[in-house]
Amino acid sequence: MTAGVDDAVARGRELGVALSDDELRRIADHLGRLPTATELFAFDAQWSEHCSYKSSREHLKKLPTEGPSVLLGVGEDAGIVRLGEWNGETYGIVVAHESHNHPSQVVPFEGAATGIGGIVRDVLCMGAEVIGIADPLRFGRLENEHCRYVAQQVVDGIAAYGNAIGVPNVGGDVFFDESFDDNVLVNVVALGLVKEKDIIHSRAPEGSVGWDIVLVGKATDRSGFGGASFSSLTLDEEDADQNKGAVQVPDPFLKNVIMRASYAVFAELRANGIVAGFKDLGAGGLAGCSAELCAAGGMGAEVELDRVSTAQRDLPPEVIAIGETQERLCWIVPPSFTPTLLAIYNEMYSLPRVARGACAAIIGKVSDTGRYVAKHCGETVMDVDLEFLTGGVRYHREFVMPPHSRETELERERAVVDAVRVRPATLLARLRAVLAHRDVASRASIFRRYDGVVRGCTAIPPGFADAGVLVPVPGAPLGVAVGIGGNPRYGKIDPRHAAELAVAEAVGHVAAVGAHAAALTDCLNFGDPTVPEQMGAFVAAVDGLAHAARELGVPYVSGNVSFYNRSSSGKHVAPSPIVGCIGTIADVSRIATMGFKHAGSAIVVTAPLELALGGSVIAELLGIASATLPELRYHAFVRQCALVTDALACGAIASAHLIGDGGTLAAIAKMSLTSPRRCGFRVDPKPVAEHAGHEIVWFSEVPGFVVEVVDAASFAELGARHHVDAYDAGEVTGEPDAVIGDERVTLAELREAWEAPLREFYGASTGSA
Amino acid sequence: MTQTFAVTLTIPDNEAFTAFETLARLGIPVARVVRADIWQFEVDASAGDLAGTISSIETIHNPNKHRLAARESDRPIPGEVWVATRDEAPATLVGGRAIPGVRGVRRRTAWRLLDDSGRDVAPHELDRAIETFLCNPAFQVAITA
Amino acid sequence: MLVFPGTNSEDETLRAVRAVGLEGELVHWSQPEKLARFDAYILPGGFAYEDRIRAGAVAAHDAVMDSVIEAAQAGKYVLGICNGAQILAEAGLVPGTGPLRRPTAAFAPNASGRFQSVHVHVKLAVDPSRVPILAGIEPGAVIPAWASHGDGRLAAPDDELARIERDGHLAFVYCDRDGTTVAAPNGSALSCAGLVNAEGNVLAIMPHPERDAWTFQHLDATRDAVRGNTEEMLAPSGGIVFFEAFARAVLAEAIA
Repeated sequence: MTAGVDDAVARGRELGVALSDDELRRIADHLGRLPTATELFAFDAQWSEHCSYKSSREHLKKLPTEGPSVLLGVGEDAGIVRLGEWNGETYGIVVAHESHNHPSQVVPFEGAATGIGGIVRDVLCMGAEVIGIADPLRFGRLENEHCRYVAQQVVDGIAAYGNAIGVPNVGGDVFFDESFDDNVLVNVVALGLVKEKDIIHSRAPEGSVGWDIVLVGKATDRSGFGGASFSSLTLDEEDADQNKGAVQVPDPFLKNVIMRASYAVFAELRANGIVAGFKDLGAGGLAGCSAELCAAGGMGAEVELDRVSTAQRDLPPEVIAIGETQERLCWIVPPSFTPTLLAIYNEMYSLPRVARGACAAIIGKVSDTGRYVAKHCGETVMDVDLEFLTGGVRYHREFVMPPHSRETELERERAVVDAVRVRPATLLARLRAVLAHRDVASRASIFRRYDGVVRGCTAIPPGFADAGVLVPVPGAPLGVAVGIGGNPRYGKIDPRHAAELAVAEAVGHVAAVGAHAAALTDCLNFGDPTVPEQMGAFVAAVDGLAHAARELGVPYVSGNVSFYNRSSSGKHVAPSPIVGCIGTIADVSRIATMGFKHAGSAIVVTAPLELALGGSVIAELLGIASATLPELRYHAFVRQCALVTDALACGAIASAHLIGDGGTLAAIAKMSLTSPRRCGFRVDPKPVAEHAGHEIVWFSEVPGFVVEVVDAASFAELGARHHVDAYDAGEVTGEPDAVIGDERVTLAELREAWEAPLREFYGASTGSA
Repeated sequence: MTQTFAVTLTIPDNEAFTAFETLARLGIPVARVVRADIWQFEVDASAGDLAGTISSIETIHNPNKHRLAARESDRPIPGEVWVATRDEAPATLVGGRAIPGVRGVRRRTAWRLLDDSGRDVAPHELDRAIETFLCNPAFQVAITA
Repeated sequence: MLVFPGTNSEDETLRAVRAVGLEGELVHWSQPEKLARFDAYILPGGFAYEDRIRAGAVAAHDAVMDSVIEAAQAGKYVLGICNGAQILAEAGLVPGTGPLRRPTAAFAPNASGRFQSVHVHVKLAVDPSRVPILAGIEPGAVIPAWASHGDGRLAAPDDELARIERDGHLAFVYCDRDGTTVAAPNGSALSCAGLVNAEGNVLAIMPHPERDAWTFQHLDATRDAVRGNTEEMLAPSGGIVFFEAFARAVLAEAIA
């Protein structure tokens, strides 16, 4: 032990870093001296949960990450999945996934906006064009005034950023639940397009000793100082104001220009055959980014903090080094290329004219020392071993696996019978209530705030199918679909099973448009990992994610973990494993939206209807406390997905929709309400109800699909080949009515029930499509 | 009763910077442009500490980048112009949220043009800036002191 | 095709222009010297200069616009889409009833007060002879497009609105798919979706025809009709008719 060790603890406490006493002692012990403030903040960021995954890493190892579709696996800022070949080139889709939960709770508009900004940089720095984003959102109850505010501001923040940079928003989902009253979840998936041969890596290239480290973007300021460790803290209402300083200020306009300038740099690099390193500045700021770049290449770094463009005079070195000012990226390029790089950003795209102090500037050199050395005003403010800094720390958190309890079949049936007796209603009346439920109601009024069609590559904008579809290579028939899965009501009951269902849901959404599931991406939103029950829920969810991915044969290419989603009152969010599935399509002429296309088509359901109501919308409406989540039979589900994609490809079906929240009858109604020809439907509910023992089965959220069959013979043949037992539920009609048994309602009335709840909150806007 | 607040940026104001560049191009002898968001609230007695309330509404005031100051007058100060939307009905919600005791909210943009000695430019230069750039009379009105 | 800082629809607009047989190039705001040699100019969508001060206002005063204004006055074709339309209004080129850079009308903030992106149809509301920039366009032609903007509401004093209608400046109005005029989704006066100048060589249109200009982008039944036909699915259709008319005009002018 050296003399500085105990002083380091005192200093750490004094500076307010989130490092533990043990961690502070380890750092001082390693350095053999008292760490500087800059060093302490650097370790604080680098060893935070956000950067180091210190509690989660040992469990995340369980997730399958390899497969023939993976061009670049987990490890860099984003993973890359194979899209296909066109004109002799192999194209990849870059996939990144982030959460911006804590900032969005504290400063909803800017927190959500910077969430988009950060993820877009993760995609950009792989050398890719950013082609789409999708947001899974979890809001608190809209009855709560502050939750209403957050739910408005988050959507506006996402819209303001995404629309301005010109990246289409192609999907996502929204749930409202009391467990998010104090902790909103704002996740975002971003997609990019890159040719396999043009991928840029987030590392100092081989032989890059003496190359320039160039910082690009906004002038560094005080905003966002302490962001990484902030996101690993429990939110306290009283601290909220104080924490606002840790949320960065977004500038989507500057990002728009930086993106385009970076595309021009990519072109120059390609033309000159230069290999460079490129990485975005996120958590940990400049030091974190440049340290990780150089560490990944086995190099060292010498950085002059005085050369960093700053917005305020006299910024202390720790703010320049660690502050998380937005819209910044870091290049490592050979000195011969530096003038070209600087000219593109500073002259052709004139960053200094676009935002005050914005520019590209050389701030240091790559060294071969394996150390990160930063100087400020002639003084060395940081001198640490890179491996020690970026290697992070690992914790084994104690955990208690969630208990398993589910009612017997008899109990379940009795609960349904009792609940229905207390609340008698016709099937149609129940359907209206289900369609008006906050988690089923039309999301169109949210999607209309987003630009879903900028870039002109959108084949299916959000709201028209289970997954958004892009045609990213102009002229090529290649398509990419993005589907989302995850349900907080399930998460509360059984995190492991909820995780499995989230994977199946994401995969099913992609199948329903006719795409093949190529890769998964996960964002794990949980409470405090130091609480064994919360950690247990996390471990159970990871087990579920791993199991489902193996069974369905789809690997993970990226992911994110967000812990400490709890309020000071000790309320944790519902365990929320949220999954995105990237689907690829060889021929986009085969895809389909979910709306009914032809009067006279048969409405067919591919899954057996069973009474599993745990976590369902109908259980909530009827007050049924069931703990039995829908059964997921993997082999059967894989066969159903294959049947749907094959049937879409050969034209046997014209539309498909995964049965989700609200169950089969809600799924059928939504296919009618999104019909481009305003087709109605007729369903005879009796046979199924009798077979399953109760008509409530029509709202059971079983994993399966509703499809519109236009060629019955071909569909039957395919069904036999895939061993799927499908049954007829009714038919598509040319009338503007929904007919359920003896009941009839106009589509206009049904539409009103479905659209009104969120339209009243998010506002109407009409088009004429 | 009307209460008026001015919100200015504590980070670089790129909008003012761009306005300066354009006005300079138009030949206005301006060295610096100062911009503020003016928020005017029609309040009744139940409003209480309005400054305290609005300082926690991010749409109006984000302490991360804004400074909030109460204005004595409901009119622009000398040298200042407020640009407002013509015939605009006061809003009742801010960021989707009602403010207790507030019946209506108006938002305007205040501009001040300073010369190289830090003084307001001559009134006819301000008028020229308004006519040629700061206000589009097709849907906006300019309010001066 | 002009690119300002904040422009975001240049690539897809260029694709539409090239699909109809025109040669086009992106010219950045930092390259005004490159502008002179073109036969026609397009200002695409986005948020030029972040919509600072007002949508289109800063770009309208940008040095590169000097060349565009000069070209418009010389009779060359100038087309503005979305943000480009806002810039043309701020530059005083549409409706073109007042002095340059002294706007008489504006594409003001939507009645809803926010950005919205909805699929729409727009209809040619003037005699085709009033819009030589769209040569050969059918009377009352209905074009599918996306209205994706926060500031698309035509606003002007009453006498100016009357003049716009009377003198044939109201180029496009919002309509349903059958061509019946409908209220504008943004609250636009006269249900206006587009304005044209007196000479008919400068056109400003708020919705984006280039975002519904290929069959795979159609949300109506026309896409389903070609399901399984790769070539047709990737072929231009729908909103492309707008650019076809523009191309006829430009090519005729270039030959003459």
